[in-house]
Amino acid sequence: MITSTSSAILGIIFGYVALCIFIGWFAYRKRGAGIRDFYVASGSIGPVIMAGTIAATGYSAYAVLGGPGWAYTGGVGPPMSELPYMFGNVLVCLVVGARIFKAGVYHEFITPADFFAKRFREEWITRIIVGFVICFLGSIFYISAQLIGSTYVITGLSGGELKYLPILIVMAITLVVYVALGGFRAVAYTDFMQAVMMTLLIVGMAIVAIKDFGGVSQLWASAIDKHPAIMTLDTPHRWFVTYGLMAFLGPMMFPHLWVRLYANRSLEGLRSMAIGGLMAGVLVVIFSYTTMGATISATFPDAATAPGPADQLPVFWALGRFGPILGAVLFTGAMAAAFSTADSILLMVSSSFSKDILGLFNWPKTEKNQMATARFLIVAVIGISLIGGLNPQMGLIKMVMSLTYPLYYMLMPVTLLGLFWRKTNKYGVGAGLITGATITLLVIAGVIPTYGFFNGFIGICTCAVVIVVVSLLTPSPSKQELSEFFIEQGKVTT
Amino acid sequence: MNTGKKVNHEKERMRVANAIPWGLLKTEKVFLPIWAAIFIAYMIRQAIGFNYGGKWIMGLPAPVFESYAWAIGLVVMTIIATTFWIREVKERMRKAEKEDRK
Repeated sequence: MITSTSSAILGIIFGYVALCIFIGWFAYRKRGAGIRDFYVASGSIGPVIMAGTIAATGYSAYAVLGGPGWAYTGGVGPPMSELPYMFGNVLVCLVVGARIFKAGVYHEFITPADFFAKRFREEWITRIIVGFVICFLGSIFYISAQLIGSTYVITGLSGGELKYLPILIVMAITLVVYVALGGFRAVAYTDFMQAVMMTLLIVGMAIVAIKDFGGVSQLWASAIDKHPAIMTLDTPHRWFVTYGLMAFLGPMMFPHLWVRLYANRSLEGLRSMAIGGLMAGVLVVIFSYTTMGATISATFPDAATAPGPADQLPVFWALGRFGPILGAVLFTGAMAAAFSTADSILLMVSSSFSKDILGLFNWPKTEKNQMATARFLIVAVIGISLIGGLNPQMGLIKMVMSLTYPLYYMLMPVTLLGLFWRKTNKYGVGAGLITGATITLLVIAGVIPTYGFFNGFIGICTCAVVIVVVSLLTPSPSKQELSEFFIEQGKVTT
Repeated sequence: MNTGKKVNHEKERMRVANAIPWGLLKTEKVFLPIWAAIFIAYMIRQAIGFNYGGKWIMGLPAPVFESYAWAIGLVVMTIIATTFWIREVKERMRKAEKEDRK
């Protein structure tokens, strides 16, 4: 028998879940025909929704939970590594993203691997490495991290009364229902709502915390006095410089952000992506990572006697400050942050497996079967991600940074060279992707040491070097091959 | 989605796609080196290390203030860069429309 408080928390959470499913149903009613509409809304997403979906998708559970938790354990220095990502966001959005958008319009792409397969006229290696290894394998733990984050919120608010596993399963089922119903539209509409909720939560909590401590200076003075570790600013230099470089060049290389370029409708949408992503980053760094990091440091100075792991401390702070009911209302914003990323990745992974892997065998053939397969894959992927969430051992950020980012960032050299160096050919890309992915997986598995670098750095650099060397040693793509990808003027064919 | 709406979306997307060149725009040629220089400056600053040493600026520990300053500066730079970028692409769209009419 659970207490009335836990029942109320469950009621609030189920209210939020019902809202997500309603939006999924609304998106289902607005659906168009075909698999491209299900996966990228036929390129019909306008600039307002685009800003929301980029902000919400780019910043997940770690924006509210993992970031302050990281500052609590490692000081505010490491979370500052967000800044290079923000530096790169606008640049990559406009310079690289606009060209991916252009190619997407001309060739009606659905998955990131479509881009590489068309550019390099090579189906098997690009689809297996990009579609399966990077988009599918690289994303499974990312979804797990989001499921863990949203479950932490609820178990934390109920003081541990609501058990981890059943809540984890409820979160997974909710995601499946609304993503399978409405596809990309459901994801984009819920993302917009989730971006608003996440912003209200992180800004609102920071303002209340500052008011409680009597001002910003008092908050920081108290945090530094009680928990001096918050002022740890040293980041391992080799790690920071190599991660910073990858983050600077890699923002749109996250496959779930990449597909938003295919879904975008307008020029203003491209601007929304650049500014929306950056503004979300600024809010997260100022209000969440640093201000909430200082707040939990001042409130729970001793990690040994803190009520839970560092990632959960913002929830415990809200619980003490607002009580469980208002805390639950507020922390639907944290769930929203987790859901908004998880749903996007879930859809992207499903599309990659369906189009890139099954597509290699020309299956499924009919549109009806394609839709059924897409929905089945959403269930299958969440099932696999659940296994990753059963026994969370790593912090949320560590989980994502060490397992997912190294693979995602490998798309960066292939994309930059493919777009801006016409000599890049299929032999170079094939060799680069195989070498880079193998090295990255060996580094993740711990077989190859990182030498203090960001753990994707060695694989990504090797990939770039191999692409250049092999492309120089083998025949360049013919003018005709290039002109089939780099179309100068397209026409509306619909 | 009705077909009329879909054709409009596709037209809008195609107009934008046609206006974006495969090579670099003028704005990009100007902003890329500036952006790279600022980024390198930030990386050097980070490599030197932010030291607290009891120093405060405007009510914040100095390193926290400095990181906020970088973030806000970045927002200003982004707004300037995107404004020029959008303006140039719109100009190319207008030119293309004029040529089409001719």
